[in-house]
Amino acid sequence: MIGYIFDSDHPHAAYDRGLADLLGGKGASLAVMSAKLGLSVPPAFTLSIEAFHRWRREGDLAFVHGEIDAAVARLETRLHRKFGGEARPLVVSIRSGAPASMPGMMDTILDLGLNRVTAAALAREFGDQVADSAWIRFRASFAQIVGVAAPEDPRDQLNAAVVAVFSSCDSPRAIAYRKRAGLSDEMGTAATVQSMVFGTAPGFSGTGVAFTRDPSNGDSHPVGDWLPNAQGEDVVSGSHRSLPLPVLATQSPAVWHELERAFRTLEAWFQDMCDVEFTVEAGKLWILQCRVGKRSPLARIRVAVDLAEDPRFHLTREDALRGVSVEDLRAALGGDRAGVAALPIAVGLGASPGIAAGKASFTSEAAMAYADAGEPTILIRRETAPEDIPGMAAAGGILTATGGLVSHAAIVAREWCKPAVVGVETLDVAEDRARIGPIDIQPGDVVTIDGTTGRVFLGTVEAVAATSDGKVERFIGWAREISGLSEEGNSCAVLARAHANLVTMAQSREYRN
Amino acid sequence: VEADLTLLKTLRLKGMADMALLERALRTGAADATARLEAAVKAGYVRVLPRGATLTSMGRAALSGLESAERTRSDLSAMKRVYERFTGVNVSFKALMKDWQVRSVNGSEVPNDHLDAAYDASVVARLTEVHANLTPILKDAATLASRLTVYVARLSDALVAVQGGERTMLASPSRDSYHTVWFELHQELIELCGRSRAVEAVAGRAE
Repeated sequence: MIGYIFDSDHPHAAYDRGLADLLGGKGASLAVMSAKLGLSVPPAFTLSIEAFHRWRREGDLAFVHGEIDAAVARLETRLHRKFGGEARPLVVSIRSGAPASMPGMMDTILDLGLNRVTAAALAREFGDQVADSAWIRFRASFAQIVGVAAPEDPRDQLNAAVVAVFSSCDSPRAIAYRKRAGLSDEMGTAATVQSMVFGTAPGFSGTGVAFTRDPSNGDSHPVGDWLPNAQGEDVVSGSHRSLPLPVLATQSPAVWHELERAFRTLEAWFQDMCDVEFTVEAGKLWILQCRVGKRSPLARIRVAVDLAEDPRFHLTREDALRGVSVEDLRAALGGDRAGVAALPIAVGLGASPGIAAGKASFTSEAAMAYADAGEPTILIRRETAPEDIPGMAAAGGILTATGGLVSHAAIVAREWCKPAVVGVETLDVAEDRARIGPIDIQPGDVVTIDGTTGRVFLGTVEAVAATSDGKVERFIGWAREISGLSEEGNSCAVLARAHANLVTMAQSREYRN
Repeated sequence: VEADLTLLKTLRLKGMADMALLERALRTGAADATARLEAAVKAGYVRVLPRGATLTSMGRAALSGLESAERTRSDLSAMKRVYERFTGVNVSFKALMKDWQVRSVNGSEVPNDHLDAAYDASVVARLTEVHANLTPILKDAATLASRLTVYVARLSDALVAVQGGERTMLASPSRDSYHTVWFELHQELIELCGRSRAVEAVAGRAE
């Protein structure tokens, strides 16, 4: 018989949109991670949206009390804990979860199940500090969200919390939001009850947040924060000093190995870069939450290219092009300003946007030699003549002492979408070297130019020079193929045309079918 | 063997050129271009690298001698007057090139996405006008230095291509586009006047 409660590892026929209509977003996400992907997720159960509707009709939870008792008993068995127990007490969180995101619904209640007896038991198990902070957190959140002081009996606490979740679906804020967003008042919500895990437990414990790839530049390695001996809320509150994620790999290779495996599993399921929250309790890894990760425009392009080229993902080049807007490309190529911390050695006119860094070359020949060796280079000239075009083609960026925004150099640079700074009056260029005030620039010295602001820096500035990035170049190449535009032309215009062509292609496919 | 001024000058202006680019600039047919290139390589003026043909230092020296001889033969003050007239048209050309590449949207400059056909057509109309203004100047230049006659055909071909919808023929640096040819013509005029681009740049005319 299908009831009103589903354990998080209950197998479902399909893990699609329909699951969120049954279990809400949160419950469906737990079911995917637990039942479908087999990840180590703190055991949980969800009161379905059907349960909400019946509660709303009947104004009472009596119909589901037996099922709640049974579900709690299953958690107790699995975790060898007891709800309200004098030793090893079971402590849970409770969350709302509508099929669609709905601000105005109630916040999470944490550490439900604590009372005088169980708090003392928790203190014996995990220490006074863990128990004290859990106790304070629970009483405060319960009083605020449910509106009354927490009753002593954990089972009464749970009933009151479920009713509070369900009631919050018809709070004035939630109703107002649904009206604005055009969502039905019949949408309803689910309530998910999940066992708490403690990153503050004795032994190797802690909590962390991780992106499976670098959200700032799309590099394909995980980045994030690891907080030893901390609870999930500490990550957000910033109350603990966080360590970079690789520290976890050295502290516990076994946990790290399992975490990396979870990253791969989650990326394969979401077919995208993920944002993962996790906790380690006494050496055991628990995955708490996973979403598709937010990222910078540059990361959006580079991740899209990586996924399209990785056989583990069934994403195509067309998917990659569709996933990146013209604004993303513009921002990645030109919107990023070179780091504000670095002091420019000179300022000229930003003639073609974007940042480029590379070894200084003073002739076309030198620029081509660097390009042949695979080294990025900045071509530095007093002024550019037509004969410099091969060198400009080879260089990642162009820097000139003379010329304005309509100079030939500026026109060529813009045509190739290469960063260019022109008219740097303090730049004194000789045959094979240059000077800016007291600063000598020799062939091979690394220079960074920001073609948006016109600034020139010595060395590499902490910013990725997207225009000389192979992945971004490949992305633009794919856009050119779909756009039908030839090898030249503005990259942003090429992507806009590629998008238009993809729409036309989809329409004609639909028409044929 | 007399060194080939036109060939050496074309290669110097382009820095480096493959056969296709060279043929399009010389416009004397593939066989002629190949034969002349081979002769120049044999004479030690040109070497052929993977990216294309380029002058050797001997070639540069030979070219420099040919250039001063050409200047001595021509009417320098007439050429300077031609150049002054050119710089006037050049200003309009540069302005339209910028408008082709960059558009002002809500006060900020963004790359022209070329999705607004009416806008692009207005820029091409300005190009047609600039071309009409350049034509008599270029004719006068060609009577002073007959080598320049080839620029008439190169510019007209690029213009026709642009008018026919081949947009990259307006500015593509790696094709014989209108801007590429103009850039080279500009350099020719500067050098025929015995000036250097550096001096012109400082005077604000090399732009």
